[in-house]
Amino acid sequence: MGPGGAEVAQMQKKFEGELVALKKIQKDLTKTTTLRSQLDGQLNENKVVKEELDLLDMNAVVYKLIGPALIRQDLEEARQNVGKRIDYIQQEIKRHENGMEDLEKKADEKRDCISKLQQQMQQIMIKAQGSQ
Amino acid sequence: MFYDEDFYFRGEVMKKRSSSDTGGEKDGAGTKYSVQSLQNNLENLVQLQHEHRQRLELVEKEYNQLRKFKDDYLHLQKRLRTLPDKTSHEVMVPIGPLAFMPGRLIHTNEILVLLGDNWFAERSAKEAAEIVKRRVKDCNEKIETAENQMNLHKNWLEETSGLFEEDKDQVEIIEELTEEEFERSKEEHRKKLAEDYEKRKSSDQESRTEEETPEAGASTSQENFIEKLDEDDKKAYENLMKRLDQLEMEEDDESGGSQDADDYDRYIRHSETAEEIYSADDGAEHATGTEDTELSASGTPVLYKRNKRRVSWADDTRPLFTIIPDDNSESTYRIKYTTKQLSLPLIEWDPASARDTPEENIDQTDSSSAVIQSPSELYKTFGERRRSSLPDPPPRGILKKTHSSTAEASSSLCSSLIPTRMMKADRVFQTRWLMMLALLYL
Repeated sequence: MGPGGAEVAQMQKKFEGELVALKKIQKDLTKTTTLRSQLDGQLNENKVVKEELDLLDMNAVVYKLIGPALIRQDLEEARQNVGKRIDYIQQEIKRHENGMEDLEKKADEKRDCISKLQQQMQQIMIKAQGSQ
Repeated sequence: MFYDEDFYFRGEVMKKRSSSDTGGEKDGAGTKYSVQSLQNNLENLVQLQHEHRQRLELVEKEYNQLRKFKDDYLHLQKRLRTLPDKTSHEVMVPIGPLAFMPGRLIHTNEILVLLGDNWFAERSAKEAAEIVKRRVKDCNEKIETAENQMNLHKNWLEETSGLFEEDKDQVEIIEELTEEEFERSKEEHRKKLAEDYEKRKSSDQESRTEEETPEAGASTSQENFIEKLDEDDKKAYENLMKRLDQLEMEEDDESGGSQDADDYDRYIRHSETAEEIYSADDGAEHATGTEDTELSASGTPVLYKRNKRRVSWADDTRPLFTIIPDDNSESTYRIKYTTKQLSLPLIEWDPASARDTPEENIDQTDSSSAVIQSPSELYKTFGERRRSSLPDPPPRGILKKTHSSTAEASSSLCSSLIPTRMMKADRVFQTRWLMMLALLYL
């Protein structure tokens, strides 16, 4: 039972290591998901702002809230800024989505590893019991 | 995403249900069916119901919030209508959450509207009312989607709650199937489809010869055509037809074999394209000009790939249908092109050659433009012409240099960029027309 016991302990350590890694990956995944949904909300908001800005006529006055101050902005500049922000947010969303894909793949791989390790451990247990 | 998770969950539920046999039967093919009453193992369903209820609560919360927003916006609209009635309103101004004090509301027509993301716009009361109207519209749409989701959840919950009350009459049938059996059943299905297709084809052919439709004409011409071909061509043709049949059967397999008319039309068109391949090879002329190109474009690309057709300019004596009609009708826009206007620096300007043979080159190209046989000759002839016609500008950079001050540099730079880009497009346009006209002379 001696050498069998050492093997089992080793396997258990590996198993726990893989579990910890999987948990970490899942945490990252949820973080990325929340970030992405937040970005989605921002994107929608900025789209609404863009529509409204487009409807304003040339003489309209636009302000931006920077900290506690309302600072006057040029209409064209405001439109461009909002457009650029929309593009930036879209890029960020794409980046996050790619990250999510990678994380999901990694998570799947880890799960496979874990299940294999589980099977191996079971086999060792059976062998150990059989040899007893 | 919302519903994908649900359905995935449900799929898991189906897989997890372990069978407790209350009666196993075998059918002819040897697969095992087990019939069970539904009452067993409904815990997973309970869990699913729990999930649905939670989602329903979320959606209801959202729905209530949206209703509140809409009410607020409607109140706001009312207030905006009355606000500009007076230049200043006497009001009780709230100071903190518990105190008010009398005051005046001034600048009654100047309203700062938050557009979102820390952007504000100063608007009049009427314009602000327009903005509010749009927001109410958005709210209504969101309320509608929330309602739909709520109904979906509610209906699902109702249906599944009904399951718990049913008695032993409802049963679940699970068929146990191994990989081999699955493959076997797939093969049998394919074979049956093949037989079915053959039957359909033969019955169609019979009905075809009786009717006087253009399709009938195609079939008889098809038969004559087959006789005309010699041995090798016949074999290739039959291979083609077999491949087509195979592809069509695969399609039937996928789509469930319910597209008789479409298949039939495609079948005819395929046979016609096959005809065209072979007649092009023979060099025979076809009366149907544009139809050619359409059919061969719509005919399967598979055909072309399989035969690895070779296209050569010399053999093809079919007249190309010209893009520009030769008549002088007023309706068509025609762009006249003369070779003398060319100043394209596509090939590097060689001053030596330009000096030596300016005249000869020009004469040469005027005559050679009628003798161009292939696209590469274009470059040879017109390239030389370019060399000759370039005492003027050497190749220019894309950006023009401006001398204005930095304050206006951006706008002037933009405006200077645009003309150079357009001119560059002009040159590209010229080369394209050049090549098309050269092709015309073929």
